[in-house]
Amino acid sequence: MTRVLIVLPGSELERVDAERAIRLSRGHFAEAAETAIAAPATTVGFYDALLMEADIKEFDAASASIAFDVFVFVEGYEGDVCAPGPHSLTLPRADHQRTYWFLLGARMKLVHPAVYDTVEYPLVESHVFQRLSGRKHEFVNFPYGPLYSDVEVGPVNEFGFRVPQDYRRLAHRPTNHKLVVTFGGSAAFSFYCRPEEMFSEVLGELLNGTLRSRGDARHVTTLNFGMHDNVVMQEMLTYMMFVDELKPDVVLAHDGHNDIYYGLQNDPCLLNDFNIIYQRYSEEWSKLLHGSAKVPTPPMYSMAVDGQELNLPQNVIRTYILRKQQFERMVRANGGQFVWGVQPIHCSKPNLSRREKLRYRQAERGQPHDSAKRKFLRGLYLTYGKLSENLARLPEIVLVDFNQRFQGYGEELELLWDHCHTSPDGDKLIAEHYHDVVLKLLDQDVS
Amino acid sequence: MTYVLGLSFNYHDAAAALVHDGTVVAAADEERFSRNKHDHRFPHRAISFCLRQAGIGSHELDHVAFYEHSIVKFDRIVRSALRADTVDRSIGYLDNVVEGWLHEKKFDDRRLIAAELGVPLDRISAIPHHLSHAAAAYFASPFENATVVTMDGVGEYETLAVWSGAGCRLERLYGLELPQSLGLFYSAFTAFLGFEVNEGEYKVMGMAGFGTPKHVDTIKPLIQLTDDGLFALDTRYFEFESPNDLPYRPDLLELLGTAREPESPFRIAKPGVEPAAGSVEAVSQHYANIAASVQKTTEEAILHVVRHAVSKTGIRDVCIAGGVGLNSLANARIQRELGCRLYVHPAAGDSGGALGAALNHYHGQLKKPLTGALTTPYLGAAYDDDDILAALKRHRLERYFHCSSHETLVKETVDRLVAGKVVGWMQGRFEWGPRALGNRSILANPTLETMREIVNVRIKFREPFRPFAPSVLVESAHDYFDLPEQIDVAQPENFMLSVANVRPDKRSAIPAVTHVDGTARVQVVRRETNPLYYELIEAFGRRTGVPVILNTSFNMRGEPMVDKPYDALETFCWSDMDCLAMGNYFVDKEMM
Repeated sequence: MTRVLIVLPGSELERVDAERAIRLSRGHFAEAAETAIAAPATTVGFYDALLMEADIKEFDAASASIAFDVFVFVEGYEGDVCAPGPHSLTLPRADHQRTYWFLLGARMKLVHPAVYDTVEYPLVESHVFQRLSGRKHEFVNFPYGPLYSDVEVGPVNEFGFRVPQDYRRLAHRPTNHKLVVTFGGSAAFSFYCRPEEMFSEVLGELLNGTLRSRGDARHVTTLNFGMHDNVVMQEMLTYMMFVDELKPDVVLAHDGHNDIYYGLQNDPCLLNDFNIIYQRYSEEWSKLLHGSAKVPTPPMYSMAVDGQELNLPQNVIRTYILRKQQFERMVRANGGQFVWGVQPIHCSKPNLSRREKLRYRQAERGQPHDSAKRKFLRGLYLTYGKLSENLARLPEIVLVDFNQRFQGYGEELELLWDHCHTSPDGDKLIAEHYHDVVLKLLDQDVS
Repeated sequence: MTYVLGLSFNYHDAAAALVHDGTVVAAADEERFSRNKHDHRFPHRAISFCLRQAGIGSHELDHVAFYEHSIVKFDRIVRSALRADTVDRSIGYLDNVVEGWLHEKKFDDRRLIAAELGVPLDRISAIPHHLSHAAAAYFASPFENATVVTMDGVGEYETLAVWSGAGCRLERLYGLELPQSLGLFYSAFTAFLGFEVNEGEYKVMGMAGFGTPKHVDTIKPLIQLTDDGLFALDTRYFEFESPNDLPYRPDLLELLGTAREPESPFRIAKPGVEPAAGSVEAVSQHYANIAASVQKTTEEAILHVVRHAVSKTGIRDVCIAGGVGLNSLANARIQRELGCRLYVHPAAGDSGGALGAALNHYHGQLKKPLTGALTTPYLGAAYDDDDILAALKRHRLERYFHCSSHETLVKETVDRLVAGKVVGWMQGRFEWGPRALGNRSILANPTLETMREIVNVRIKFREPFRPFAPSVLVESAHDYFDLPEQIDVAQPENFMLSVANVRPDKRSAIPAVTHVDGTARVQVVRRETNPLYYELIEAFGRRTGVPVILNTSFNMRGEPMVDKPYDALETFCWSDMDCLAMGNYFVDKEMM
């Protein structure tokens, strides 16, 4: 029997965040029979009053370390500043004890033990690139593009996808069993959502609900092949490696941000002459492998540096569209229908809610605010706007442009969690929009 | 053969300027190359450009002059911060300052320059900040005797100085020190009105045009003009010595009410319409009235200082430099009301100090005779057609054409302007100073009223109330604007540094460049200074009957003006600009 202690932070969370942290932490350790909640002396009174139905004890590290097996420390903020995590907390941790940092949103970040074990990620030994990885929530090198072993929001397979291990059986499904597969980067992965909150999952439920209500004999399975950092080129590789054999009925490519973000920064020759967009940090691997660190490139993970020439918007957009058209041809040649999804980003919703603004400030805190970054962000947003204009002019594509669709949503809705990822409510809304479009495609298929 | 390099850096607007036997060979702000607005860091790129332009290496420099005494400035910062009445709230500020100074090695500029350029220490000097400004204004002016007034936020200690210039000699007569600062007075209200200090001062001037100076009686007592030709600020309202956050104190809010929120909407009701209380229009009008009152108070203070300075020296030829010299409304009044001949250095702010330091060494230290006025602002980098073609190819602009002659280029451009298109115009060497004067400009048809909003909102992504300047042929200038009878080659109107009334009968002819108060910040254009730009305006005049073009700086909001072809392409592609004329190459989005 696992005994779990959820420790609320030393700062005062809003009720919605505190309740979500408790609910998701309990859900994460569903097999635990015993879950308790505590808070430091400074806030125990506050949380006791805020969460009337919960029994909240004062946190005492010494006695807790004897009484509990798992500690979940909930992230706190003081104003816009993230309170320090529990990494340096001097709990007397026995080998069997585990410590997590619950990051507001949905992420259960492992703190102790320091690296994944098979409890945390049962497939961590599954193949050589997992075994060679850092065994943390991070990038895993793989010959065909980056993988992330991100188990913080729920289980993933050997390649980091949020799909069941036995998905390949779907290749032999009956004709009334429709398959909808979603692709994209971390927005399609549903970065801040538990499995049941992912738009791909909600989409499946909505479609099946509609079909059932109509008395339609068909039913739908959705698979989420979104992966952090992926650009359209990698979506195609993923499709070829894992999905082609399934012959999905509908492929939904929900992307945009990564191609524009990296496309602006990529080598102009690769972008302009060969339509190649890649993760900019790939340049770092070359430096490490070839000792070519002296060749000037912008620092890893920085958006831009002084005087750096960003690629021109029309070239980035052209490359994105060309690759996506290529992806569509691939899918159609395999008998599927293709939806051009464009993910919403920060500039897609001009009227941010109070909490959206707050989280954006929190995410930005500590980031450099130099002119190069400002310029880059402006370029990103302007290019994103132009992307929508360009896509709207494309004939005969099935377009669901959330950069456009989010423009109309007001500050009463909390749809974005950060600059390019949606909240669970945002994912739900996205699923509702896709539902109408995918249903139409499935119905066309019948007619 | 004497080469003197002048440098400014470490605060804001780092720059380099190279003087060869008294003639300015090159001068440029670092931000143009680094693309970092108001870049304050050591100006490596600007120096490289200056040396390249002269075809020399740094070892061939006879002297390098730095524009201020950093250690004296640090002394002022520490002493101010440790003053008994502010020390409690200054410690954090001081911590940040010391950390910044240590990190950026600001304490010994001469050694830093020596190390960076490989120039022996004995060939490097530093001069007082206001002397740099005074030298920039005087030695670049057409005058052999002049009253020189320098006014800015603050140098080392000094915020204002009055000088007498005669031949190679600049003599300081009197001045003022912090916290008595006209520049910071204006900046405090820039912050109060929701704009960024050292960046938004122009916006206050623009906003002032929409207001009436209803609050002058409230604001004027904050700056008492004194009999000695100076002024005394009521320091209860301002925080200049350890400004952790804002340059004003809560007392100012008590006096004037809530400060304007940055980026808040600004809309003025139509004439005759009384805006509803609390509406955007009413709130905007309130802040516009404050802007107008601040502007008027500042103008009165400047006139007071200059009037007294002139009476002290007995010389009516006046030179002005320092950031306050960019107050083009005040410059117009100095000419109009004091009847002075005026020279304002085109880079009146801190970057101009680089050129001032170099000129001071050449004339002031080496006692070399004056070499005549600086009549051209085109002292920056130029790019030829090969550079432009390479950029077009590298960034895959496939639809463009090459104009075989200037006549064709001018005709193609005029065709578009007449049709209401907005044209990016990048020609020759870029300008010295903050104004685009026809070599890095965005151009539009001033006869079309819609152009103001189109260029503000769709091209420059800036506030819709910002005014645009007209470029006019010098021969036609008096037909359109109330200007001094004589406009010689060095007067402020050549550098867009003075405001004039648009003649009432011409306001409807050039609505896009007539500000709401009937004024315009005019640039007169001479064939001998910029023949291609002159030809363009002349041709536009032949087609439309109006020899005036709307001219605004070639940049987007928050960006430095463009330098190289890529910068122009980037601005062109990211904005809704219609066409781009770079050298002899022409790009039209309709072809793309």
